Amino acid sequence: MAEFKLKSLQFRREREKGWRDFEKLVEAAERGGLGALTPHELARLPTLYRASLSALSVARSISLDRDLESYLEALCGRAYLIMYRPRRNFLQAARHFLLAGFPRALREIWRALLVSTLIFALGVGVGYLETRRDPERYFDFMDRGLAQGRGPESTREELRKVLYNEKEDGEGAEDDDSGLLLFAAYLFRHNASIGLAAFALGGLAGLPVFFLIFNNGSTLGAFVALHQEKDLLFELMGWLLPHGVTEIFAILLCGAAGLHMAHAILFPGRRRRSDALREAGRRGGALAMGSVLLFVIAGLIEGIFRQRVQSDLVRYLVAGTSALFWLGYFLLAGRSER
Amino acid sequence: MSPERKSFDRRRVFGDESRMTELRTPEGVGLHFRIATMSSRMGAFTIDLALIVVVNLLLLIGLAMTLDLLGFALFMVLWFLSVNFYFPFCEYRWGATLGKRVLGVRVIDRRGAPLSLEAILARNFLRDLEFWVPFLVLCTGGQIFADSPSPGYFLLALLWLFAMLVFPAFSRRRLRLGDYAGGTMVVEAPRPQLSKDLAQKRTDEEIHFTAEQLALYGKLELQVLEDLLRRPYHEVKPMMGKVARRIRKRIAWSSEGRKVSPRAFLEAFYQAQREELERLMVLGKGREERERRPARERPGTDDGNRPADRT
Repeated sequence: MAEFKLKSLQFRREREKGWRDFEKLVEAAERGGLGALTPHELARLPTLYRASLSALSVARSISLDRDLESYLEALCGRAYLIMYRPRRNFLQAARHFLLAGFPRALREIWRALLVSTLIFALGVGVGYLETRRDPERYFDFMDRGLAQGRGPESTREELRKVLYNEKEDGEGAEDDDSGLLLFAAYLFRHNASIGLAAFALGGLAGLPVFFLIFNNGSTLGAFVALHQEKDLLFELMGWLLPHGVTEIFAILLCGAAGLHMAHAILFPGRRRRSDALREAGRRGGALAMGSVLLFVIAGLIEGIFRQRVQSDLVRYLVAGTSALFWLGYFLLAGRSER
Repeated sequence: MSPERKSFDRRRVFGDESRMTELRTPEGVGLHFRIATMSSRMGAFTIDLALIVVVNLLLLIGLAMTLDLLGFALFMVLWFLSVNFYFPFCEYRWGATLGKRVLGVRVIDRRGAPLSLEAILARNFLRDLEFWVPFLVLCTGGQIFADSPSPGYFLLALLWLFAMLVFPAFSRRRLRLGDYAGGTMVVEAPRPQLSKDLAQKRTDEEIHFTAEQLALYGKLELQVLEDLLRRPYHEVKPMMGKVARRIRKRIAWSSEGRKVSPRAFLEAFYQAQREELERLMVLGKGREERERRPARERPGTDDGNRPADRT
């Protein structure tokens, strides 16, 4: 008798089977993705989803059974996360990112990119001028570990040998393909880690980013000055630019992403700080991801191509081509809808 | 619902409501998710970290035995990828890393949108700042700019790690820095569980209540009673006796000489009370909770509640 009087019980009795079915579908979709469902099941999913949501609303207003309410709540919550899961799979998302998301994000933060470029240029200028003024200051800018024995006391011949990968006797015996790959992998890991750190440090309101970019610039400046001293500027650029175009750009990009985020933290404007940070963080995350890809390419060029190809002409050609390619990519890609 | 009730601990029955967060679906229904605790997130991260470290160590050992340069190059790349992309990949694909799955938590967008790749990347790249950089400084004994270990940097890194560890405690939704940057949060993965409706159970004894007897309690009391009835019987048996006695006294119900066990009484009362309250609800006269009587009551009689000190 009580069963007929209790509306909530009747309500539950009529719909419970639908909920249970739905629960199974959601579980299956959670395990194997929506692709694991048959077309028939897939067609039922939205109907069942809406039915459960409306059941939740009804239960909230007519049922006093807390167990039922929390069941429907959890069921709908779980289903919601399935229904509104990312629409693209990882590969599709990556493709979209490359063709549109990455260049778009870059165009959106061109101001930050300008700032990071200026800081970098400042670094280069300081490193260059100081080293020209006093060659001994070279090691103020260059880490001894990275210098590979090159310094103000090196002769022109020694420096030239490094640029053209001519090894002294007894050295370089291991200079085979896997050795080069190892070198490339090392460079990639080293540089990409620095890049990601530059982005993440933006979360500290940006000061470390200034420091990091400036430092990178001054190293480059000192390095250039060292070679110009020995009249090797042209040769150095051929050695540096093929990968440098890509790599320096990636560093600037990471720095810009960090600065963009720092800007949002310090000056959110009329938005709430957390909203500003979210927007900037997502854009910055995309850019950092993109620069990891740039670092991969730079690492490959640096680790393999540079060690193999000694012709200045080819080196400059590669540098020019990559510069043009990136310019075109970032200015043009992803302009059209979708 | 009832801020003036001080001594009754709602959390014991209803869970901590400050730990819930609401998302509004495009269909216009608000869904509640339980915010993941910091301990479960730390646990999840520890599992993930252990996984990364163990896999990389095994790889390294395997490669060291072959002494192949190519393999070593591969290791470098895999190391980088596992540190930086294990989290984003899993979270984008399943909403949770393995560690999070084990502990039953997952990542969601704070506004209820589908998780975007950008959000996931931002959230995880900031881990560099929050964990990896200070962690590596710790591992090398404080070596960062200098060539030799420095206790100063070691201490700084330790402090930094600690600061990042407690950072989420300062926001209600337990957001770490990466969550701010990604616009995400971590919640407990909902697990639907439906038990039998208590009103469905037929009691053997015919126990009746009059309208006056059912006019005392409201929704809150009903749900507290529901909670009691759903708990494992052996745990709450003594409690049931007390509660049954109290209710019988309050509503002046007599067993008329029959022997009625506390459980049977409470079940019957639950059914009758729910029926009555639902009927009222349909009529738009729902009762949230029992009406308080003026303070002439003895303190501590009913559920240990004192009469309200109203402000």
